[in-house]
Amino acid sequence: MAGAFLVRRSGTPGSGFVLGMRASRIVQHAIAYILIAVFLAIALMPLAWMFSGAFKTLEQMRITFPIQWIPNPVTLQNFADGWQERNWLLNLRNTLMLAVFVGVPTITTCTLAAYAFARMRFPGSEFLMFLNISLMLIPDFVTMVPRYVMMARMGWIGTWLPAVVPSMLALNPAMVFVLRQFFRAIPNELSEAARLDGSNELGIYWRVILPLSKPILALQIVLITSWAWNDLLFPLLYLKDKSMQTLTLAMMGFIGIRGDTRWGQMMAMSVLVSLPMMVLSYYGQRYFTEGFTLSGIKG
Amino acid sequence: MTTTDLGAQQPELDPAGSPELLQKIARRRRFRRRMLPYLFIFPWILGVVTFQAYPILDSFYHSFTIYDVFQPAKWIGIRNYVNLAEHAYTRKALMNTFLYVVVSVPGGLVVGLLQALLLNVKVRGLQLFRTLAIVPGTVPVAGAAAVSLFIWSPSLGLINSFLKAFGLKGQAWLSDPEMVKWVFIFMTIQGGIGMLIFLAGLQNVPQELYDASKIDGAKPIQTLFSVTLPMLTPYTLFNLLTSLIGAFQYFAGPMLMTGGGPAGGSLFYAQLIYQNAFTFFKMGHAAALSWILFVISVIVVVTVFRTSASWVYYEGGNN
Repeated sequence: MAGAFLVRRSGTPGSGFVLGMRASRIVQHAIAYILIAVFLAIALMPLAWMFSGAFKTLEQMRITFPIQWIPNPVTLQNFADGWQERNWLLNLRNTLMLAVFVGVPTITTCTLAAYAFARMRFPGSEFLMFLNISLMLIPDFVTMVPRYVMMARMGWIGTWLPAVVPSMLALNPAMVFVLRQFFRAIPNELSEAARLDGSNELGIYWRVILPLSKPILALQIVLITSWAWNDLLFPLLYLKDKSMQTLTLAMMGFIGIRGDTRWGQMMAMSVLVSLPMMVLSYYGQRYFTEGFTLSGIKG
Repeated sequence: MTTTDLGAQQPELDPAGSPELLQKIARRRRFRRRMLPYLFIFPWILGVVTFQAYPILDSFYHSFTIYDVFQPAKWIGIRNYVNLAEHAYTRKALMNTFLYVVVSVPGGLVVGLLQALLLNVKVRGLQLFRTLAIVPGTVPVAGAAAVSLFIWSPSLGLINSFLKAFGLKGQAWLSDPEMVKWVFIFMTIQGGIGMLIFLAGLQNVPQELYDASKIDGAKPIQTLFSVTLPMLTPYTLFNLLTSLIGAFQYFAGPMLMTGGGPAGGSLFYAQLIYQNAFTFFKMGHAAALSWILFVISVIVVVTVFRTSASWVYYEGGNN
């Protein structure tokens, strides 16, 4: 059984059909299809149930056998009711603001640091990179409390400063590491050519390295946006005020009030909150593969 | 920082200037060039000092104090650690997190690996299957939490309806203090991003190794254990480390769905810190817990790295 997914075959997947496939291979493929189908069915079931529930009326929520996956009749009432519960557009605006306030300064300072680590030789660079890798492995919860106390002492709670200031200080060791790996893989000849043309280091960074790093930068933008969309801890600590709440925090309040009559609304709002991220990830996927393959884990 | 600060290219003086002046300028340029990398990493250094190093030291100090933010901290020695050890909720959170680490982390690695192997078979429609497999992982945590609540709901939930259809008794699941942790532990056994990383790893296994293994007459299962898995070990190490660190910070799911309840049944370590600090304002307790987490993660990471030399295979020698 395992054989089906071990051996990488050359040639196009369909070519075998023309010339008559070996019987064992057909069996192997059939098993592979069945396993893939089972795995996808399990993995996608909750999502299908979410979409299904969003369009169901209260009466249809009771489960009957066979399970009714496609609602009949389809209702949009859940969306209308759920939408009125909260100021979702404000939450959306706050989510995007968080992504920008964190994303722009983080990417600026992290690319600068990564450039130095990847392309410049200086005493202490090896040690500092080792320190950076160690910091990647320290859970955020270790520093959460003292950071909060610092911010509180400076009177920053209730402002966007807790998002902006640490981001201006390249506070994302994973990003520094990934960018550094990527920058290192860019051929040195390109920077040398720019240097001969009179570029200084900042010029090389701006005109050679950054333009060649678009896939990895796009990946970082996707990752930060999805962080802003997903993170619960940061908004819980710093964006508690109603006017600053992000989508996750709004959803927390929304699903906190339970009751069997509200499942439809909850599913409807989940669909609305989830769809943009699903679309973004679909487009971000190729950057992930590209960025990941090029930067690599090895070395 | 402006471009002219860094420029070493444009001549500032007529070449016929006095030699001392030229020397001085050359020295200054050399100095600038030497300092330049530090300018690039200056924000990073400042960040490490203020938002990483200082907080870790600060929580070490405060772990020996009573501190509620409003009044100055008072030194109480190791009493926080003693109190925590005696507290039932601490033990619950530790136990839950431990179970999570030993069940959900390896489970997730195995599932992610199997999914990646499955999605590496060259069958028709592979690209579509890969895309579909990624979709569940892209659902934001809030949406996933809402639908999980729905599915595990005792009255209208999909799970209980299935059980009843097969004549089994429905469970209270998330409202059962003993059951609830297992719901979270099993719910999070997913391939997720680890699957993508394994999949990327599979693309990097050189075809020659498979060919050689075939020529040697190896059975597929032998190829799996002697070629595929060893070649994937760097990726396994990466996934292991990230999922371990993730496990120590498992927070949003329980926070959104149960708030750690009922009766601390789904309280995990991260939420324990959060609760102590921001619900009870026991910053001293929270600091002690943070420091314990710091020590645990250092021990775990160092142990994994130490042992990794014996099981991680790097192409072109170990380094």
